[in-house]
Amino acid sequence: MAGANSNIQVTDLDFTSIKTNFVKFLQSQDTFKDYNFSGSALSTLLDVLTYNTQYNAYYLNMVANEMFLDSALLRSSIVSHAKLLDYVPKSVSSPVAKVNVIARGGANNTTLTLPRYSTFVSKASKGQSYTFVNTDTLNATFYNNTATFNDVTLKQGTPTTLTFNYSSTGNPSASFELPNTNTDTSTLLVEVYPNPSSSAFDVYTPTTNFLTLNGNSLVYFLEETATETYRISFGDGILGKKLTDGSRIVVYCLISKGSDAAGANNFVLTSNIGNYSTSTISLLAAEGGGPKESIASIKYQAPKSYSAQNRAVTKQDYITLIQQNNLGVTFDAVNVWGGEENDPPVYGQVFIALKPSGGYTLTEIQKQKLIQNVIKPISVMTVEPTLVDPDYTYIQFNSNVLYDPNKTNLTAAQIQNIVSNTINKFAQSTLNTFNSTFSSSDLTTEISKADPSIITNELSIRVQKKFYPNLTTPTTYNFYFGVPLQRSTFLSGVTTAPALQFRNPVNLLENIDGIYVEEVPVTSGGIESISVINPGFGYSIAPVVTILGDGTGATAEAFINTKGNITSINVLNSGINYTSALVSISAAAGDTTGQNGGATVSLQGQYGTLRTYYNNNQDAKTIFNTNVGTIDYVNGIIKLSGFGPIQVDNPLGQLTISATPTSTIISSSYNRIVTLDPFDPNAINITVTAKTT
Amino acid sequence: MISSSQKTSLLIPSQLPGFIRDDPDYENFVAFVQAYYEWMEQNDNTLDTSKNLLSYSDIDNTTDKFIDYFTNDFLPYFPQEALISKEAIMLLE
Repeated sequence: MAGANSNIQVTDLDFTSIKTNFVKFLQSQDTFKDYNFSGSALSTLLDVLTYNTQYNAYYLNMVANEMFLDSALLRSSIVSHAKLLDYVPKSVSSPVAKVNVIARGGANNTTLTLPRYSTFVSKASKGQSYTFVNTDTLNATFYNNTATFNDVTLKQGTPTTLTFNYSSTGNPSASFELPNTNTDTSTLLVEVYPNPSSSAFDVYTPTTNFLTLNGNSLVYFLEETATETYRISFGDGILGKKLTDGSRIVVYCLISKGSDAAGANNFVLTSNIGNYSTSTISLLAAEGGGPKESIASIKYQAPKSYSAQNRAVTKQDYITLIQQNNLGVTFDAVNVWGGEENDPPVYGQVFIALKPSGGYTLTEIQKQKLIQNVIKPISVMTVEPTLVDPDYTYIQFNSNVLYDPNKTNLTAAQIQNIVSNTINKFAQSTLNTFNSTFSSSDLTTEISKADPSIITNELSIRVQKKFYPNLTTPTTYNFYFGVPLQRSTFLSGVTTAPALQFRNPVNLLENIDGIYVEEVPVTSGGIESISVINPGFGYSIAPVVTILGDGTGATAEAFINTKGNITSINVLNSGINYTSALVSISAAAGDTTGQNGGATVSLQGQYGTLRTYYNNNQDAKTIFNTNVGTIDYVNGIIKLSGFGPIQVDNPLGQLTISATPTSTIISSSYNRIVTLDPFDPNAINITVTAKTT
Repeated sequence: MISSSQKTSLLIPSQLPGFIRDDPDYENFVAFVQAYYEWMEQNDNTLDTSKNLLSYSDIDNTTDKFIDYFTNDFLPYFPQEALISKEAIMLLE
């Protein structure tokens, strides 16, 4: 198979080779075989003709490349090829925010309307405020002189209305161009009036599914034009309802600034609704939004969309069709797997993890819309789609860099900046998606290559989970790191930040601040379990089990079956201070036939305990709760049980829990994403040291 | 290979002005220009390719050189080892 974007070369493009070829051809002709082709006059003529051929060959190659989606370079060609595959490139999309709008002063039980496209202006961020609008007309009723519009969805954009009059002779294809290249096509609202003076209208909706269409379907077809604008066209009476002569088409849409407005918040309603005083409560800062689909993405998505044929059967079908959704939501990453891969298996379900562009998770409303409007209509009837949020594991990088000051004019701070950029670039290209793998040695190599003056570097990493604890009800949390965790040694144990506040269980009126979670230091190792590796034979009485090792106190008992074999050995007392242990099995007193039983010991080490502590008034470390959770080192799971702080010393209320992985290779699968938190100033810590001579 | 009716080289003598075409002194020049076009009409050279370009984009008439591009566009997940011939691709599309 030809590689993606591979270039087509249909004719030779090298000047010398073309000229040599031409001369050889002339020399094969009787008329010219004795000519001196290197003579100045003839050589000049040959050069002119060769240049002419080369120019023709160049343009020919360019044209040949534009013939196929795989090799085309011009957006107009790529969009045209995509059209052949029934693929509509995604337009620029607007970020979405949510607010509650409260109006005051109305008489009870009167209804207030918030008209579509009422204007909300965000608080300026980085010197820029953005205009958002609500895309639906909403009603609320006054109660206690207050009317509240709950969960109002706002989209960034400038509302635009376009009006077209249809004439079958002037516009036989019934197509109309939307002239702005920044039209967010997910916001299109198309109304068709039978004549310009009519007040009644039909609402037409977009479609790409021709199976359900007939001559009365109120649909329009959307496409991108060669000039990056959009065009809508209407049915011919067979596939979609045909427009009647004199119809007036009114198109409402938003002209978007893409993801520029992501993060906008603190909205103020600037439109006047009934002369009432209003206030706005921001529920969700603007997130999402994105630019027009790139040509690389169109080349990638269009053939896959064509292969999916608008039905989701394979994993790639789901990924392609979800990416292609017309809800105006774009995704950085999509992962899909069958429920049979879950532990425990969940048959008959397909699980879908989505990382939205410019955000971390989808809202519940977005999830419902995605399932009802995008996934359900195209999925196999008996397969239930389930959306799961991405489970983010953050990596904290700690890098020590040694450099040679004699090999560079850069300062240590500049070297530090270079290394920081290298880590960020590595994280962007390697992490932040599903099914990615982080390799510490790869990053170490990249850091070494970041500047010629860097002699060597060492890298240590911590893995982190970030969450918002429930501050009203004690809750149990499970964190899956997806990598085995180290038992606590110097500075490597599980920690949390920032400080927490708990209610004093002894005096509920008192709050204790400055509380942290830590791993209980390990002082002793007992016996975890004993596995039978040889059941032996002839045992008439359960044999005696003796545990030999450098610790003390461990005891166990064996169980036998009716055939005289050892079936299992239970640990009765784990003992303490074992770093190695053996099991000795000997026939019990009175048993003359039992022999050959054998077993191995597993030392404790899979689980650890978490506790909370604070420093009291005398700055003495004081344990607040001896057991707030467990650590499963082997499976990389941290559990906080009945965890009930009443405050987190952080404006966002976010708590970070950190641990050290045993492996420097971290892979993500299913709904897990390993990433670098770009908003965490402590995510990258670099120490740069100059080599001394 | 382009057909005789498409060959520009055959039209060269008639396209040159009479004072060149009919003057014996320019006989070799006419032959030279004609030879240039004959050379460009050779297989895979510029004129031959440009006149065949449209047929290359037609799956019924294309050459093996372009099959990969058709499969990349229309059959990205179809196992390549299963594609036994151009005819198989035409049927699948």
